[in-house]
Amino acid sequence: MSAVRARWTGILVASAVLAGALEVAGLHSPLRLAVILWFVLVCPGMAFVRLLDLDDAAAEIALAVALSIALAMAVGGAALYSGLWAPGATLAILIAITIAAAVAPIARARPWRRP
Amino acid sequence: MTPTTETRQARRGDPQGITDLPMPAVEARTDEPRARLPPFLGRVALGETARAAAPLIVPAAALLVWALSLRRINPDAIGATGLVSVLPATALVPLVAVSVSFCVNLGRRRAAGWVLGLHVLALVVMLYSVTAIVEPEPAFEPAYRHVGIADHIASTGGLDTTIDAYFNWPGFFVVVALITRLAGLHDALPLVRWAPLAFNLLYLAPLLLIVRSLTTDRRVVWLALFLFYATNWTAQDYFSPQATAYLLLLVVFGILLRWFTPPVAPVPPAPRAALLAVAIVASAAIVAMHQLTPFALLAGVLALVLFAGCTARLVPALVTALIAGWVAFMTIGFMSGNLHSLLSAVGDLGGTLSSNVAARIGGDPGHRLVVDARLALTAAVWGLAALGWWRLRRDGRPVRAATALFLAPFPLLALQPYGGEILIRVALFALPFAAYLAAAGLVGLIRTPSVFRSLSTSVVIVALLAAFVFARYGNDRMDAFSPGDVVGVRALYRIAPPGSELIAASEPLPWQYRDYAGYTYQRLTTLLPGPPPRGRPHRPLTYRIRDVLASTVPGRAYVIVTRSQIAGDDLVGTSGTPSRLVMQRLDASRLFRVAYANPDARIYVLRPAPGARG
Repeated sequence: MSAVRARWTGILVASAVLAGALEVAGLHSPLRLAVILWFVLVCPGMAFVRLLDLDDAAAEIALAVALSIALAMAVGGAALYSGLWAPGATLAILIAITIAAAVAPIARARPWRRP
Repeated sequence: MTPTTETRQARRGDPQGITDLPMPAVEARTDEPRARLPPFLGRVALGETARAAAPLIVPAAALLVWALSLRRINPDAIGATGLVSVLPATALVPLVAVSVSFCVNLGRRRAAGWVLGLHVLALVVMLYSVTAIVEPEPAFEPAYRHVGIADHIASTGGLDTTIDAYFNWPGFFVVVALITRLAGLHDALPLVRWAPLAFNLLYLAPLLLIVRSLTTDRRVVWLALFLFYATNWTAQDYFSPQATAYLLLLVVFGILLRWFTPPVAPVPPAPRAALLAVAIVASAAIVAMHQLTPFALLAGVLALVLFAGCTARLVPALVTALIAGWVAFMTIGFMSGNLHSLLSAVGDLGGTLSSNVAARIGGDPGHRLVVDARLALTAAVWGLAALGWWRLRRDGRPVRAATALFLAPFPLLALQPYGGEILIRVALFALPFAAYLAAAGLVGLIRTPSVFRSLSTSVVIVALLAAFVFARYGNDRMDAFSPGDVVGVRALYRIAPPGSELIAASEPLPWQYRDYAGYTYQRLTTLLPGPPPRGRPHRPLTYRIRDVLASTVPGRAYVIVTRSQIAGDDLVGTSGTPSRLVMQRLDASRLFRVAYANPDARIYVLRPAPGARG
């Protein structure tokens, strides 16, 4: 795994943990807003998009934000339509998705994009 | 140069890469990590560093001067031409300086992408954060309404699709409700002020993806982005579902252009499938988020497949299925009562043009100037796009994909007047591709570096920016709210018990940001549209208002008149009784009493009838 990929894995896992910790702590601060915005709008999508090895920062950011919004909408919407609206649980699902996708490259011996 | 880049350039009919401009050596070596950094970061000699950083001096100084100049602005003095009426020259000159500096850098043989990019960034910050800095309260009535809808979803945890159309396309509000609750916010109001800047910064990445898919010429790429931001007067980037859906739309178009529309770089099947999946997921999100954008998406993907050879041939069918499925199963609450009125507008092009153009040309002379600026700016961009299209065709460059996506939204004009906004939306959907075509045309002017040619391009861009500041911020006298407007609405919620009928004299008003379903919201312009027909016995205005209030929730109906409503009537006119007249009549009437007043807002309630109990 390249240094850039390892760095992204660290950032994504740390962001997920920090978002979860701030939510559990119930801290009222602009930091919490910034972390939640960063995590919900970027991290779940980026965890998947960097698996594609696009080698283009603008493309990665664009796809990551779009996918993150769609994932937040899908998980939150499913909870809402099923009458189980619970932001904390939705966050937990997004954290799980993010961490699973972020550590996936570590579990793989060889990335499929580059032999 | 990587093999992939080489392949793309060769297939785009641009075998030399950036045809006329050899890339600087430091940027051509894209396999070296240092090439990604601004050159001065990797250099030691002070002289070289200063020379490398020199192109940054203008945007940095411009930003500084611009920021300092905004401190002295009095938003109360905003006139009929909007924000530009109070902006000092020191806030406008930096825009000119950045534009000229951008064009000068564009004309250099060794124009570095990061230098051009920083100029675009400076422009975005100046153009799209100015209202957030100058105006005391967040602008745009719909933004407050969107906060209220998200708050309703977050606090009830349910979706009542019978409330209104918003609850049938709740995607954006679900995400906002989630973020506000997770961030520990009371509501989403803190997000509203900076939303235009945030959205425009978010548009940067997908716009880069799109334009880099259409050309490998770095100068066209950055000029296209500069033109996009310098001409996007449509103001659909406020806190709204359409702003988010537009972001997703750009991403879907970017994916299809980069990886599925010839000439494409070779991509293995697995990532290709994954990229297609991302496009489909983003399309589904658009469908669940906004009423109009899915149709722009469908038109775009259909145009790409039919006219530009896009290999993702199933995407139009999938998008159609997503739209049909969502409308059929998820919007029954709205469609059951509105299907006839929606379908009756299909094909009524005359009505659409009337409500989108004719009805907007009116009101205050200052407002007419703003409308003229909008029409002129749109015509100028489309004219420059036509010039660019002609040049690309003449030079044998690929132009089908950009042309297809530029023209794709125009059939929407026949679909719906969209509350008189369809022309604005069509202009917005077409803008990225119009900007690209226009940039391709303008870059031809500066192909041979010369001061004269750079200045010519600067003149064009500065002229566009001059129109932009009128077109974009021309309605700020009514779109922007004063603290008095906002405090008045806050008082309304304090005075009126839940279940009351809240009646705005006209629009706009910063309300509905809380208790979205807890009150009935009305406007006098809807309840009392226009003067009574001729020949009918004339009934005084106060009696007609009294009748309206008495027929709603007797004793619990409140009329609010604010500065913003009066400004709106003055600027664009009204279909009913002007708010100023309503205020004068209610002040003078014994039928009503003032329940609250500040210099910018007054709230009226009906006095109990003599002898009435309670």
